[in-house]
Amino acid sequence: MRSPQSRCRKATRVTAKGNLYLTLALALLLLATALENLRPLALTVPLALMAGFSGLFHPKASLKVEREVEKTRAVAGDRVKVKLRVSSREPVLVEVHDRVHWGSVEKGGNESLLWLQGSEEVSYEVHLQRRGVCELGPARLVLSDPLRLWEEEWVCGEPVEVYVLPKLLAARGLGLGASYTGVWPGEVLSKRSGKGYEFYGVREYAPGDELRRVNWRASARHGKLMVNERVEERVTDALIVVDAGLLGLLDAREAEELVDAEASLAASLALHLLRSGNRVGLVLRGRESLWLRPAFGKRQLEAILYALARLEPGEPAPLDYALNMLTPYLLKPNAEFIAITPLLDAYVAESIFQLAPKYSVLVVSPNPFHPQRERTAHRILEVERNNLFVKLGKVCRVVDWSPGSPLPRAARRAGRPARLLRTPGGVQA
Amino acid sequence: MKRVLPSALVAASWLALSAAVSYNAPAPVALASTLSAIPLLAGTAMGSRPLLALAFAAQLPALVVTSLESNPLWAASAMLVALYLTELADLLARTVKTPDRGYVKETAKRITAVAALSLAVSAGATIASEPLAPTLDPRIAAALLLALAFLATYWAKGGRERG
Repeated sequence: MRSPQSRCRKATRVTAKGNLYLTLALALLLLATALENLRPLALTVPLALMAGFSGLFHPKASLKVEREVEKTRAVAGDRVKVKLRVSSREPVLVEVHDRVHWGSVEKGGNESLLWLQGSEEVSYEVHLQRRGVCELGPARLVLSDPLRLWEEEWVCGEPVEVYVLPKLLAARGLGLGASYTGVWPGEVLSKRSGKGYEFYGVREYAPGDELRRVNWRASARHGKLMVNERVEERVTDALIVVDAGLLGLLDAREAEELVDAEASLAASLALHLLRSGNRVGLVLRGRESLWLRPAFGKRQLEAILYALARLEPGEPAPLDYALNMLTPYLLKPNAEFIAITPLLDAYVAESIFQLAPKYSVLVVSPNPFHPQRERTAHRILEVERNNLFVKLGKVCRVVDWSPGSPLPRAARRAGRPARLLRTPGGVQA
Repeated sequence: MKRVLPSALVAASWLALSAAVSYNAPAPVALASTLSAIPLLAGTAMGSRPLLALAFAAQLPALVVTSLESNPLWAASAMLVALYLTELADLLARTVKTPDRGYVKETAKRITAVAALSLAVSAGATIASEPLAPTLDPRIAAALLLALAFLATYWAKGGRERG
């Protein structure tokens, strides 16, 4: 993607070195005055002359910058190539600093010292290790006199945003326990007979029924032709809630890793559910709260992935309030409610508890505590979290998931009785 | 460490300057002047500009002593060489972390031109002002030079803004 050319903003200022030159000259003058001796003044002459003659080489430039970014949408772990073309009509010495919001710069560098005669290309590669929005640019070009006592800073080009989408996990075959179904064929067992795989019942043969559906044993018993009926599978509505709040108890890095895992899981579930024809909505609680009404299709998937790329830990508003207010508005009764939360907030657990009778609720809880690190505070929090697990396990499916391990098979089963499930790496209650 | 030979040349010149200015200086001043080569070399190798400022600050007492004890032309020349070498070291230090594409060579030429011009003019100025020195009030000279320093820097800034 090529960014449009834009005007550069210029600012001229004295550098720290320029100030040091002036201070030194002043100090020598004071010394000469204090000693009542003219001799130290000889030292100020080179200072003044060097500063003055350096000004003779002031650059006259009209700079242009054009940035080309290989792609503006990437997946965590991708590398993105960036090319920066700097041009000037006059030969000029310039320092180029292209701002990289985050990510590590590899192959080449985003900074360069150029003797610019015509145009030059600065190219580099950014390794975007984690999910988020990475801003590339604006470019900062610094022109200065040879001694760098003055500098003229040009800030050129609009920043380009690269959306780094979460990595996808294997979430295929996720079973849904929703009893609300839509009109389209899907994966959720409805209460009607029709096309499907699960046995529904036996009825009398009617003209037009397929012969392979005839149940010969039942026909022999009843003395007339009987056919098998199957449970119709249809689509449903699902609301995915991602809780990235109340992580202040964790290190910044731990919180980021946890939110990355939550985003990956939410993205994988959304992709799977949308591919199966379901309508999927999203509620995010992070530094910026956001909700998306359930909808079908690729556009919805894109909206969900972009929202998840922007998700950052934080808490502007309590999630329990949002859940109580938003869920009835966004989701039809008995539809699928999927909460991805570390369960560190008792109020959130209470909200889910309240919602459980009205919806088919699945709670996937990424474990925020590393088993290797034993901190007393974390131990206490773990005990509290386990209590919430037991409470929620009575009314809905709860999965204790260790980020990094595959999504447990248990989470993929649908319509099972409410119980507590744990991954091998999960903490035992 | 990039550009080993230029860095070694700068360090060697710095040591020679230290030897020249601290020849008749008191022992602490001479020691500080000689040891100033260490932060200079370290600053050039690591790309640390504060270390270069430290090296210059350590050299400064020897320069002041030289200005008090020897003739003004020699003191001004020593100061100029010290400034020139510090500027070159600063230029080399900047390339440690940032890739260079012809910038250093061109800037080094310009710094050399600035230093040569300054040497010529300061030699002329000090020789011309020597007969006036005994009659001149130091406070007036100080004020004049201060005004000159401000004028020089603001003239340079004005030129840049016009450009």
